[in-house]
Amino acid sequence: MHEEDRQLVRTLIRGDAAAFRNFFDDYFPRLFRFILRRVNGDEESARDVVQSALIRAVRKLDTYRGEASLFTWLCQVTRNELADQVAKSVRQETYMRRLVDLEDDPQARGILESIPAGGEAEPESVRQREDLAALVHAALDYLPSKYARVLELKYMEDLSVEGIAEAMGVTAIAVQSLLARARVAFRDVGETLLPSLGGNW
Amino acid sequence: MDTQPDPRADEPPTDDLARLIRRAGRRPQPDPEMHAAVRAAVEREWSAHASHGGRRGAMVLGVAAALAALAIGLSWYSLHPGAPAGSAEVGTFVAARGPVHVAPTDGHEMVVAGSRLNAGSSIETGPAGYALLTVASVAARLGPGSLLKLNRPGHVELVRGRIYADSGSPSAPPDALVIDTAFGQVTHLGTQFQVRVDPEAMSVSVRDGKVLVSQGGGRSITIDRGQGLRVSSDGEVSRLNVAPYGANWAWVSEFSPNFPIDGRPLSAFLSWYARETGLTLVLRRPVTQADLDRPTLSGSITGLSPAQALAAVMATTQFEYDMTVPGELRIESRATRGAN
Repeated sequence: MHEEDRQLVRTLIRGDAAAFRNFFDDYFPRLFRFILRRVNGDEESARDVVQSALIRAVRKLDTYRGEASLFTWLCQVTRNELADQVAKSVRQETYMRRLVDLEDDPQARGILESIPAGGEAEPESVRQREDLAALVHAALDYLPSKYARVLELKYMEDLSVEGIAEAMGVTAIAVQSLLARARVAFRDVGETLLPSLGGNW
Repeated sequence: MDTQPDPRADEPPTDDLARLIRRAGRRPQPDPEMHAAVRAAVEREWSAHASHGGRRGAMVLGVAAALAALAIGLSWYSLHPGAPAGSAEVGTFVAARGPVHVAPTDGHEMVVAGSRLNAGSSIETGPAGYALLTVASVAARLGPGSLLKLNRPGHVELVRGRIYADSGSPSAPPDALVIDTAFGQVTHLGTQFQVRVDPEAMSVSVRDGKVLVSQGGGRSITIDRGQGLRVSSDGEVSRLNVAPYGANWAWVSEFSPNFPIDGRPLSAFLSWYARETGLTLVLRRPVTQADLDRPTLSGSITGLSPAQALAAVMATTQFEYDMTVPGELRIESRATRGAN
């Protein structure tokens, strides 16, 4: 049971405005990325889907039981919303048109054609790299926000422990502890999402 | 609570996990305006469905930043009844950047620069939110992730986050601002200082002037310029030496009150910059104060950070600046420097 998430949902149902803002600021970017990957990077479509899904979710918060994490539950709601929208013929046409537009776009086609065949930069390698990035991003999104943030501050921003403490408004000791827990959690999530790497990372 | 460092945190930063995260690059973020617009839409629905349990919470809005080029504007709000008419005024709203929530206000639909902040109101900033306000005669800034309650005239409560206060002059009335926290009370005695509160501790840093920190049992400690104090949740009190500049204060410059330069002398701008950053202004011979009083500036630095503003303004003068000496902003003649 995900008691912390259940508690958050109970707070939301009670109408705590601060809890809502924290909830939204935490989950919206993660759901946005979750859907962005499924609509070929079309931000407007991703926005439509996630907004509708979150509206749907806040209407039925009382059905969240805590069997899965809140993020997993929201992903399911969002996935259903995407399926519904795609099922609507008008929306489907829009998605298809956007896809065709991209393929027909001379600039996009130029980029695709500029990738040399063979060697390190062959399209498959590029695609694999993009897939890897998407999987790592997904793994970070599945972590509690503070875990993802501390990992990014450490490895993307190259901040020292003191710098991270400054950025997160906690002590250096708390950062060290958080980093250790975040590494473990990332490995746990990553082993599920990145099985092809065989845990060699 | 985290009290012991975990030895696993000392793993070398070049391990495979680090390489993987670096190789993946930054996670894409939704556009801030999109974020704000979607939040407004979802919050309206949430408000309609949540049982508000007696809390008729307020007004949520974003205020377009005064520093337009850097500002992330928010343009949404949901309206609920405000505070009872006639509540005592505690402060004045000045500006905000990023997600900021003000609740409740004096009943107006939208908070704008100059809006009254009455007793019982609060300001909350999101992860990237900043707010400027005045309380009594003191200019205050709230950093990201902060919650400030305005309890009564002259008294505010920092529940979490960080606040920076600048009275503008050491001659500001004593006791003009009292900041309550769960760890003690900080009384402004005419100065520039910041208070930070997190679940583990409160820390006070004094850039200039002095503050009085009071705890239960009548214990009080005066903190002077260059000093700090940390009070932990277990009651441990430790004094610190703090530089008036550097990383500890960096967030303060992230969102500064607008400084109009048009028609003002270069010296006024440099004094403002030094005050914003905690640096000491040093004039290197043959530069004199009179030299800096003469050039009259024109234009605007709206939308620029203090560092950007400094670079932009100095490029239009015959002077160079140098910040290689920690804590100092050195001004020298371009001609002299070129000759060396």
